[in-house]
Formats: sequence, C-alpha cells, structure tokens
Amino acid sequence: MQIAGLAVASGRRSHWSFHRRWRCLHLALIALFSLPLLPARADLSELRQRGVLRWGNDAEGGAPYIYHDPDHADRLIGFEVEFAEALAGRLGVKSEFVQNNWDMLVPALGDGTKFDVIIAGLERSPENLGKLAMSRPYFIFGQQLVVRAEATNFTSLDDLRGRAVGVLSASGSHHLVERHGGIEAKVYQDNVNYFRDLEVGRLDAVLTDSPIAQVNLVGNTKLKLAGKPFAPGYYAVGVRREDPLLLAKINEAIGALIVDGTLERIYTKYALWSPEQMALRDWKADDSVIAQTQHSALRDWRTYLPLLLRASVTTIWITCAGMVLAVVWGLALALFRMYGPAPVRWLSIAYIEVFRGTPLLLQIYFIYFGLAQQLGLKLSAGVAAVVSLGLNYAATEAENYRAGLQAVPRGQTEAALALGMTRALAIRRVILPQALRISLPSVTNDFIAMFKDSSIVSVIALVELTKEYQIRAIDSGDYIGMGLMTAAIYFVMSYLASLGARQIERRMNRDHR
Amino acid sequence: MITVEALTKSFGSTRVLDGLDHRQAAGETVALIGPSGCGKSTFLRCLNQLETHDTGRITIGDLTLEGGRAATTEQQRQLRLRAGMVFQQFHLFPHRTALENVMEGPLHILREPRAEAEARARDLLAKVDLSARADHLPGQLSGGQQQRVAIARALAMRPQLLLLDEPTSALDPELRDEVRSVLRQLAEEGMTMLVVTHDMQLAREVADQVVFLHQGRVAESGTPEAIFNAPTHERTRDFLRKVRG
Repeated sequence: MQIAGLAVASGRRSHWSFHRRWRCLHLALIALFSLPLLPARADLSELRQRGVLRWGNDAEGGAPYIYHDPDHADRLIGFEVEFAEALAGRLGVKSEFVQNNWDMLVPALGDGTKFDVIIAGLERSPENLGKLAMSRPYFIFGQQLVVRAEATNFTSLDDLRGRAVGVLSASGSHHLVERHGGIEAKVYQDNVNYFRDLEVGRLDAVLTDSPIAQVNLVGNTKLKLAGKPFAPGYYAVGVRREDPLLLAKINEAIGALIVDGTLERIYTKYALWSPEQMALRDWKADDSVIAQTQHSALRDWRTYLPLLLRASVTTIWITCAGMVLAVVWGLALALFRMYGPAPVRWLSIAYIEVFRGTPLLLQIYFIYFGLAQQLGLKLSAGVAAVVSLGLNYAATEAENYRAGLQAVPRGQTEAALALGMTRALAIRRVILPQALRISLPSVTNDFIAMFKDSSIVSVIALVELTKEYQIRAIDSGDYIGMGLMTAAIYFVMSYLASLGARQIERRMNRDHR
Repeated sequence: MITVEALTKSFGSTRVLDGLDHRQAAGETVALIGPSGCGKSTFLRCLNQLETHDTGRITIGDLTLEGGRAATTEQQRQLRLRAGMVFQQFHLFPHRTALENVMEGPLHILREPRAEAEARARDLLAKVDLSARADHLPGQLSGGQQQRVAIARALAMRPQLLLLDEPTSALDPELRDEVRSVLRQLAEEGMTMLVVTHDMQLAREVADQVVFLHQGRVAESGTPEAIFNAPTHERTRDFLRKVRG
C-alpha cells in the first residue's frame, strides 16, 4: 500500500495540488487501515514474532479468577493469571493481560486486534462454540447455589420457583436459570454485587460457578452453599476460528500443563483443586452439540421483539416515574434556591452542585448498595433506579426552573406586590406560571434525554431495554440486527415523547400570545 | 388623606429624595411633574413601598410608615392595599385574560366570592370601555387598552388612592386620549390620584393641583392654571419651556 502511495506522489506534475491532496488522503487511508490491520493477524508466527500472548479478561471478575493482590494493589493475581502465564510460557512467549468488559469479551475478540485469546472463565458451551473456537478445557466447575445462612428450604433450582435468583449476565448460570423457567432471574454485571444483595435480602439465592461460590464464602457467616454443584461445565480458552494453528498449539500446551502437574499446583494454591479435575486429563471433545450457525436476529424477530418490548416497559416506567420526581423535587430546589432563607439557599445550591457534579453511576451505586449496607435501607432495584434518576435530574431541572424564574420580568413581581399580594402569593399566582412556560422546553428535552440515560440503571440488576439488548445480542451473536430492533424501539419512544411534549408546549402557549 | 413629611431616599451616594413634603386631600388629583432624575418616580414608588424610604414619614389614611426603621412586610402590604399602582409599562399578567387580570386581586387577595369578583370586574371593564375585550390576553390588546385594563385592575382592589407612574408615556400619541378620558372620569368621580407625568395635557385636564419637583424636593405647587400660565420658579419655567418644545 505504501508503494501505491509513492506511485501517486510521483505522478504527473500538472494538477500537482490535486495529486497532493489525493496523496494526503491516500496516506491517511493507509494509516487508518494499517493501524488495526498490523497487529490483527494473531496467527502463531505473528505471535512468536511479537513474543507476547495477549489474553483478554475483566479484572473486575474477582477472586479466584483474576483480582488485585491485597498486598500489592497494582498487581493482578488469580488462578487464570497464573494459568495464562504458564500457557504463554509453554508457547515460548510472554503473557500480557488486556482489560475488557466480561460480557463483551467474545465480540471484542473480533479480528484479534485487542487481544489474541480469551482466558476468562469462558465456558465451553454450545452457545460459545457457535461463536468462536475453544480449546480443550483447563478447569472443571459446577453450578453452585448460594443462599443465606438461615435458609433451610432451598437446595435446588426447583425449590426456587417464583423466587429472585442472582446470576452473572450472559453466563452459564444465567442460561440455566432462564431455561429452568419460573424463576425470577436478576442479572448482574459482576461476581460481587449479587452476594451483597443476597446478604441484605434482595435475592433468595445466587447461582454461580462453584469456584466463585467457594472463594466468596470464605469467612462469610451470612451465606452458605446450598446443595452440591451440578451441571458440570468446562472453562476453555477462546480462540478466533481463523486461528486453527494457535488453537492446536494451545491444546497441546494445556495437555502438557495437565500432565506435568502445573495446573494442579496452581489450583491447589487457590484452594480449587479437587480430584474431579483429574477428568481434564482424559477429556475428549464432543462437539456434536455445537450450537446453531449464526444468522440475523431480525429473522427471529418473533422471539426477540417481545423480549425487547417487555424490557422497554421497564425503561418507560423508570423514566416517567424518575421524571415526575425530578420535576417536583427540582421545583422545590429552585424555589429554595431563589427565595429561601440563607441556610436553605446554601443547602439547595450545595445539593444542585453535588448532584450535577458527580456521575450518575456513582449516585446509583451509592443509593442502591451504599444505603443498604450502611443504613439497612434496602430499596428495590426499581425504586433505587427511579430515586437515583429523579434526584440526579432534579438538580438539572432546578436550574431550568431558575432560568425560567429569572426570565420573568421584574415588573411582574412589582405589579403583583403593588396589588397587595404577599411574596408567596405573587410567586404562586404570577411568577411561577410564567416561569414554568419558559422552562418547559428544557424540561421536556431532559425527559427525552432520560429515556436514554435510564439505561445506566442496568448496573443494579434491572433489565431495561439496553440491558436486554446486551443479553440478547450476546445470545444471538447478532449485534447489528438486535441493535436495529432496539434502536427502533428507543426511537419510537423518544419520538412519541417529543410529540407529547410539543403538544403540551402548544397547549401552554396557546393562552400566551 | 396623604401626608408626607421630610422624606429622604438615597441610592448609594446619590440622594434622590431630599426632605420632600406633600399633602393631599381626599378626592384631590395631583400631577407630579419635573425633569428626569428629580425623584418623582421614586417618590411614587416609596408611597406604595416598592422602594423603602430612608427617613421621614408617610401617612395614607390611618396608616403611618416611619422611615429609618424597616417597616414589616405586612405594614408594606397594608399600605399597598390602600394605594393602588398603575405602571408606565402596564405590567399586566400576560398569562391571564383582561377579565382574569382584573379579578386576580379580589379573588386571591381579598378572597371575594368568584361570582361577586367577576361581576365587579365586568363593571370595571365596562367603565374603561373594554367589555368587548374581557376574554383577550394582554398580548392581543393595544397599549391603550392594556393601560385601561391595568387601571381597572388597580381599582378592583378598592384603593383609597391611585398612584399612576407616567400612565401615558409608553403609548402612541393617538392612544393617549383614551387613557386620559378614563382618568378624567375618575377624577370627576372623586378618586384620589397622584399622577407622575410628562404629559402636560394630562396634567392640565385631570389635576386639581400641579406639583413641580426639583432635586428631590417640591420646588413649586399650585393650580394647573397658576403653574402653566404663571410659574414663579426659574426651574419650572425652564422645564415647561423644554417640554413645550
């Protein structure tokens, strides 16, 4: 490609400016494409040449997989870290960890630009085999139920009909609970927060991979294991399908690590070793159950659209309830700020600045997890979402109202007072009605914005439209088709909301010249 | 009716009112004239406490407000209930119809029954010749019409005194007459009024007494004939020469 660029550069002298522009464009294109292309070919020779095996995982995954060393906060440890190092060592290269959101690891592997393989407790499941190549397993686990220590009647999924069970998004446990039916699956983004919610009583049980359960229950007197691990599964290394050579080498290396006792040594160190792991040695692939080949989710719209629509109901009620709270509380804040006595005014200003100046995500965590932990105030995920959105947007709405209040001419206040109104009456009868009309467009704008912002509440195990999209996109492997359906729903919601808003604006302005 | 003694008011280091005295009997209409900056608008605004005076004493009817110590907001409100105000720029409530503007005070301040308030508001609109515009919003009315609604709104509160701050200044010349004739009629009916104005025709037509203000004090006062035909004060002569062009 560089040669092509040079050829253009040495082209005819006439119209040189045209050529120069052309050449610049050309070089830019080369730069653009060569950036992702160069490291993309993660085949074995490339990898050897680079001398590094880049493996993707999520450091939030937690113990025992991958976590920050309590003694050296900047160092990552865990059985997968050590396994990755051992594996890279066998391949004759160094190991390099690449951070990626856990539930986005498979799509992020993509063309191998970001990392070469996934080593992240990825199950060798038919679903995953439908999307990428997987090595022979390096760990055998089971599904483990965890319940509160005092619970006596939950030992299997059958005991949990109609109960709330926490699972990791897009994990084997998630699929198992969904397939079981009759259980309310609460979907989490990480392996830590569902234990918190189980402790405080928001969940009746957690279903998770046995290593996670074992490690998190060490020293925890509030929770206990319920029943034996079931539905055995295998963690395997995820490899691009275009990389059969690398896959073969990795399989070979894992075999060697099993035979020479390296895996046993690592797993023993993390208290994960059990005789069942011996089955790794004689494991035989049975890939006859590989999942369906991928096709567009749009073809399965009959399956997916109702799921997305159901989730969008959550989006709608969270947004509407959140906005009602924001509008009412924001008005109070604006009035406090404009007309309150000094201390009330300061408090209001402080509130507005704090809520506008800190991330919504942080506020949600604080309200949902923080209040439950410190004050025992266990808001349900829905209430916490509405409260967080409402309190956050109230700060913005307060400023909208303030702008409106300040835009009402001074003469209006004077006329009201001169008539004999008290200040409170003047505000209520004269100033506020005019101010609200002025701020209405900004408020309705925020209402539409909240439809989209509400997706952030998925971090507290609330499945709204964006979260449902994520789950289904991972299931179906079709991010585009599912994305189009989801975007269409968002668009319809926003468009209807803005039509409604315009209707209200028109009605309010009709009697205002 | 009105007694004002030794009124002073400063904005920062500028003394706007400098020991102003004024007396006015019930049923009398007084026109307050003088060059801009002479303090006439400030004086009017002090009379219904949109500005608070520094020292001196204001008495309207049975209520006296001393300067120097802050009047309570309730005292201020009592004064405003006695002294209705009409502004140069009307300041009608733009989100309410003419009728609602007039009813607003009786309904929400005096808490009169709605039917009574509405009947009286319609009477007042008829009085200012705007019955046909009762359901119009201020934005749909001309300046002269708006000012007449504003007068009706002030009258609806049954004030003992009407304060008018340049009621015709914001109007096109051909619209001033309709406002003047309303005020003339009110004067004939015995309404006590204090009008700040640059409109000499208005002063001549409605005033029993004309007061010329200069540098925050009364420089000269007398009947319209006396002031306009035979002013004694040098400043009054200057001023009248200028406004007559």
